[in-house]
Amino acid sequence: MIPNIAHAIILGLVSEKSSVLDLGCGSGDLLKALIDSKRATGMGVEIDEDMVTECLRKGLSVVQFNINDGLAAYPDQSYDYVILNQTLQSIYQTQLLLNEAVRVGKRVIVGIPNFAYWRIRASILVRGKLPITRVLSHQWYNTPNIRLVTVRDFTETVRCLGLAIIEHHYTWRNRCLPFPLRLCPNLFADNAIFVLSH
Amino acid sequence: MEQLIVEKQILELGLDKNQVIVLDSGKSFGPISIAYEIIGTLNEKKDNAILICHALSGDSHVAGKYALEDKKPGWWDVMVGPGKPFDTDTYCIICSNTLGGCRGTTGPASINPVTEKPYALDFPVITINDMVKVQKLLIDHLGIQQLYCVAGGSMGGMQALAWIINFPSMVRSAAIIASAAYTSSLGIAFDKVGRNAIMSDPNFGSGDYYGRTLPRHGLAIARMIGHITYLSDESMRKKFSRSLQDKDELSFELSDDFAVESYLEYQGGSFVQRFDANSYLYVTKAMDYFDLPGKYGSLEKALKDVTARMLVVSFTSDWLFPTYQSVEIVKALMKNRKDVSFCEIQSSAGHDAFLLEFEKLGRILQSFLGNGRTGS
Repeated sequence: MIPNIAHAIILGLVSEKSSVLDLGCGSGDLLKALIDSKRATGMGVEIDEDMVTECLRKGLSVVQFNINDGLAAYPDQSYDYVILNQTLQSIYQTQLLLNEAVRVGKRVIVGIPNFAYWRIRASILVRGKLPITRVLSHQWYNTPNIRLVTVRDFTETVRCLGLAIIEHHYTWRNRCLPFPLRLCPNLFADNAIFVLSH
Repeated sequence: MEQLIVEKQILELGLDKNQVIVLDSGKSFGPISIAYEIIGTLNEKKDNAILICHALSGDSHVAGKYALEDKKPGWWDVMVGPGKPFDTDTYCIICSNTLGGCRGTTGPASINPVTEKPYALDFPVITINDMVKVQKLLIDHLGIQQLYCVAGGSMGGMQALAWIINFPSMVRSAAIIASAAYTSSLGIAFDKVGRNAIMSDPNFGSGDYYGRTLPRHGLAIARMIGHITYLSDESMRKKFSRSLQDKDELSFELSDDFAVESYLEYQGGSFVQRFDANSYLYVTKAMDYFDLPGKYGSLEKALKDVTARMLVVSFTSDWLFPTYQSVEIVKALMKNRKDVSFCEIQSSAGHDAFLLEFEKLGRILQSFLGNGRTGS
């Protein structure tokens, strides 16, 4: 299996023995890696029954909740990290969830696909079609990504919410975005990872 | 696969101080007999025991057969046995009949040593907690200090909840399936109708019907009502539609026409062969009294001392113990920062899904149980 660069970056961001809440944890690969290699504790939240079963098989604690219903069950600052990796684009009330995430977690790690990636721009510009890329792999009619966002949109939103971006990492075709492309991440990154806090 | 043969055992407790229980009502109660079955072997450290708690109409016969020629195996045979989710090659499975039951553990049909007649309605009103106190006597008797898991569906899940609250250090993990932290008003309402059906049967008398004609009709109606609540609109539609039973057209008589009527008659009729009407009264009453938020002020407070790893499972079409009641348990555990997992299984089988969706539920339970082992 090709190692997932986003997972590798997030593993690097989380300090040893932290508590993590992985919102939209999917099959639990990232959470399992955090527990195994970072001795983290924590739980996953996932909406899909089969994914939940897969998480349980991996020995993870996981609850089958719809994150769109909110995080009311989680006390303030109850986790060192709240992770929203490839989750935010499926959320209806994105701003509300971001605010909730920083309430529950001391740090929030967000991973998003960048819709302003040049290939997407080119596809729309040249072919007049929404692109199918590695990160955005669905058709318009079946995509779970109902909130398409760019690096610039996201950073502006975070600022509007009064939150701080304390770290950012940009990737491109499953590797770190090299210099000098890093100077213009909104054009060259297909994926971005941010660490947010109050 | 070779047929699993099991044996029902009876633990007879006397009237010593540590052999009687003080009921939630305040009365002291004994002597108590406990019917139980054990499948699998208790290891040397005695740390592989799983207590399975049965639901309203269940008993200690959780899996296997008593004899090869038995028609049916135990009530959760799909889940319990060698290589099954509750793998008896690894775990020692214990299941006992609840207090107030009628399948070997002391209940209203048992002989009251004072009168030397069946207790009938002299049997005290009991609670889910009281059932668990009796199970604790059995677990102590078996020399088990900590159960690897306590698992149960429906009323069995209520017992598992009572276990993790009353004896937190004795339970390493618990699986609460299609259950709730309290019986809803809807549940109490159906139980009330069931009890009314029994108590208004002319043969019920004052509950002292033993050795005479039993209140079969009332008990059958109670079972029919109960059974409807275990199904769902969708499962009934799939199973019966509007099909007629043994006829091609409506009879224009008041006798049964529809397949669903015949099914309920059968369910009612077979239930009275194996269940005591008074037990039905006492056990449904115990369920009605179950109310953790009421007892502790809030569900969060009720669960604050829990140390067990928790699994909560609900089923989408269960309207007797709906998902929201499971979610309440999960959220209360989360607020206490307990180790909890939760899954809502897609199913059209209604409340009975906990007995029928054995593939999905089996995978989940197997995963949950298996992963506790790695930590030991």
